[in-house]
Amino acid sequence: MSKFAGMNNAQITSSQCAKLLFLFALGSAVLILPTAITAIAKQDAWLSVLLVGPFNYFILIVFLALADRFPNMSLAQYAEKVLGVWAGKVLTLTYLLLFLLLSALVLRNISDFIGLSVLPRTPVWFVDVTFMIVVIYGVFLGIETIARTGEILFGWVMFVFIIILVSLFNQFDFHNLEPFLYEGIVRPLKGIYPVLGFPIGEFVFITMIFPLVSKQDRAKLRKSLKLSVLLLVSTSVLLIVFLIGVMGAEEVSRSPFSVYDLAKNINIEEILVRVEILVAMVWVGTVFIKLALCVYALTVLTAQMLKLSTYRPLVVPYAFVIVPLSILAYRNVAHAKEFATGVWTVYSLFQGFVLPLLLLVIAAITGKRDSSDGSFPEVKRSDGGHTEDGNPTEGAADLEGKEPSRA
Amino acid sequence: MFRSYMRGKGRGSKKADKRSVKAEKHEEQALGNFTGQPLSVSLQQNIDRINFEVGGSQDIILRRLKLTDAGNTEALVVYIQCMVEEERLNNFVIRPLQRKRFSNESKIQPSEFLEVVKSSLLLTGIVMEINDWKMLFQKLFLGYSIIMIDGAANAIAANVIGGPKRGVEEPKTEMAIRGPREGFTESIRSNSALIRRKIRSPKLWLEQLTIGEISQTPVCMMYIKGLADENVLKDLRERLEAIQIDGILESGYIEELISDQIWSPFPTVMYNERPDVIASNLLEGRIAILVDGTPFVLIVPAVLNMFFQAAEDYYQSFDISTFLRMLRFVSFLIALLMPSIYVAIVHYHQEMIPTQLLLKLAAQREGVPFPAYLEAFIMELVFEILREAVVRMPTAAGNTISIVGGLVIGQSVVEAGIVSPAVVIVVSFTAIASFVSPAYSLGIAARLLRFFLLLAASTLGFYGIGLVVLLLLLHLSNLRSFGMPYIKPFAPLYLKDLRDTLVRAPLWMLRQRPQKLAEKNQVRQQIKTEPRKEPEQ
Repeated sequence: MSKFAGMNNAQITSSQCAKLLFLFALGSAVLILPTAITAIAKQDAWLSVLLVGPFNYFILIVFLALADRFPNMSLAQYAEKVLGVWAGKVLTLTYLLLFLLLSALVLRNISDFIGLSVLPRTPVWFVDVTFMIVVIYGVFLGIETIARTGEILFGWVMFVFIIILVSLFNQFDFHNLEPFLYEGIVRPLKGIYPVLGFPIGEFVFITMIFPLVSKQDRAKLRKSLKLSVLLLVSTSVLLIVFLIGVMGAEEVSRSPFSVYDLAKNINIEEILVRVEILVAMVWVGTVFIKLALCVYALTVLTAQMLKLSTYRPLVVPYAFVIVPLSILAYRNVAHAKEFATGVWTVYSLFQGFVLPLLLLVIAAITGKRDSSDGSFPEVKRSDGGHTEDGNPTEGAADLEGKEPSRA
Repeated sequence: MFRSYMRGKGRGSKKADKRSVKAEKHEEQALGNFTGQPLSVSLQQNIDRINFEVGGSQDIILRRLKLTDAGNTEALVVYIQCMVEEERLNNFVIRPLQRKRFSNESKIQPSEFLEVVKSSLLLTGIVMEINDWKMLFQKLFLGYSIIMIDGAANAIAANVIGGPKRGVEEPKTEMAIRGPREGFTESIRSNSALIRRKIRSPKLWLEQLTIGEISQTPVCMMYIKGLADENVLKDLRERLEAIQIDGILESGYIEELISDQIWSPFPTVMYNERPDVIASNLLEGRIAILVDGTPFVLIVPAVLNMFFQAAEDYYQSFDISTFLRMLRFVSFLIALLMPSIYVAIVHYHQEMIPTQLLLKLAAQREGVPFPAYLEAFIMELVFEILREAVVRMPTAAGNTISIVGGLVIGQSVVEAGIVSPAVVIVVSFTAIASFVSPAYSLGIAARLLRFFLLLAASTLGFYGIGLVVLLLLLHLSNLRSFGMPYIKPFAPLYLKDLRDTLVRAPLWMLRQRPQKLAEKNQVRQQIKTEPRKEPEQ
């Protein structure tokens, strides 16, 4: 990077943060999850998604409260402040495992999908590796780039979403949604369970993003996140309503990638047919954002735990772990579904909700607050491009907190 | 040819530093360093020195004159043939010097001669005193005439710049149906005047510097003080001053040397030939860079969106402009994606095509020996070759090429069953679409990337296209032009700026300049000029 690229100080706006959350939540969940929910809640699946809506934001409240206490720090840093250095590092280590596994699973999702639906004869590892190359490039370029890409993808996702819903109006059958609450409220309530773990528990990644939201924009953060969650809930409810309305609950609960199958139903005068590849492209985009954020969180957590000055050298080695892990993780799609909707919820909620809550409680009891450390020193930023001329030792204490400088 | 250029600090790796030091030494030998070397008092010595330095080149004219009746004070007029306007030189420099003879009695010292000549004899507008060889040669080769007087330590440079020059003509690269017909020329002065004639404000500032160790090319920055961002200006100045190259022959040199990212097919500096476009960009708070010897003026910072805007968009009504802009954007996507989408569909996703069409396609492909991706690749290559041939052909031969290309290759190849007609259609449509973009430099990006996309589509189908598009998106998101994110109004999102992107809102809605450019002076229109409403009956 030339010194003229030094204007890049990793700061994102609150709306970018909100869009990242939205894309992350859609991520790999949107294609797989409806099947699981519908299997449990049948035609009332949309109700489950509606009911789970508030939880999307509840979990963020914990992270936001932590971010208020430690506005310029990420999880790895305030864990050390709250629990002490070594206990904090152990806690970070558990998160490393979470994100490593999550990255592998997300990668597995995309290769399963591509392998089953789009390119049945292409070897899995080839799909994995090509996808991972894009992710490595993205993570290497940094969070600002990912955030901007996210903004464009957000527009593309909404565009395709609207196109698909509009073009499915002619297939929509309202009777598929009946009978409403045939077996009482219990089924829809049970339907909440997989959602809690699958995207919601994973929201903990956002603790790595919060300290990067620019200072002027901090005030708008809550509002943006609320809007994001609102949009998220309404899109997922609409999507499930259309899924059930067009395909019927039975078919949805049987199809492995229901939204993809939904798009196959599009048929306008025999001209606009089989545009499911559009959905696949949207999904490639959202999964990319999810995976990039996971790998970003993984590498930054590691870098911060080990007090490195940059996370970038870690990206490629981690990629070498993630790809084989993703191939080993499941035996097949059924296994994946079982794991994602059953076991995963407990694990991800423990990591994504219980532990942060514990941190918050301990921080509240001990009254720990820290806003100095981990701020983004502007001096570092302006000469971030040519550290060989600057003296990197100066203010090294500040270094650990900020997003590692560009190297 | 010009290997010795190196950016001073910017990309300085150690290896590069070494190379640039080497280059400097080399140049010192070849060029000589005249900085601070005073002129001699003796005219003869000066004449000898000039003759020595220029190797007695015959186009450099040394004209001796006698200033006094007795002829003991001599003067010398130096100029380069055809770089000066000879008539002006004769009338305004030589004639006054000849006509007014100083009498022997007047006892004027040679140094005073100089003052008298400068202040009351020479009839040209720009007259300046010169006291070292560097300045002398600089002015001489710009087309000034140099007047030296025996016994005086200084010389005078008088502006009689002239010589062969193209008149103002209609720009060749960006035609407009409606709008001014004038384009820049090769002369930097007339170019800056063309801009000044659009913006008649004292706040339009011009900073000139000379770049090119040997070529000594004048380069100007023009901007509107108060609108242009001071940080960008400072940055630009630094980048321009860091350039150490032997010669600047076209603004492309500057473009490449000041770009934020070289490893990108996308242009981060915009160029244009039209004064009105430059003026409108100056009014938005951007900075223009004029380079002598080329009609192409650079604009920074440049964002992707600017490459989809044509001058005409603002001269015709907003609805048609909006339509045309979307058309351009779609054409860009077609130019980029169409061959690869065709290949992906034919190879991997046949189900996407309506059955009737699929049958037609299959019938066409019957008997074609190559797989579709190879066909597409070959035809794309053929098209690029044709295009390159036509661009540099003499006009007379150009027609032959188009006949050979269009008829022989287009038709015969299909008839011979070597490629299917569908591929020819796809490739030619792509070709047409790639000419829609008003900015040629962006079209080039699409041309290059098309081949990568073809490769991706032939190996991984739509998934491959998706991956490459993602890569492109990441790359675009990462690009910056002078600190400005390259895809700015879209990401980071500036809702107000979206009015002048894919759509062109009516002018009364475009009340503000693009955000983050002219932050101190955001407002473009003060008065409400909304459409008048009919009074209600």
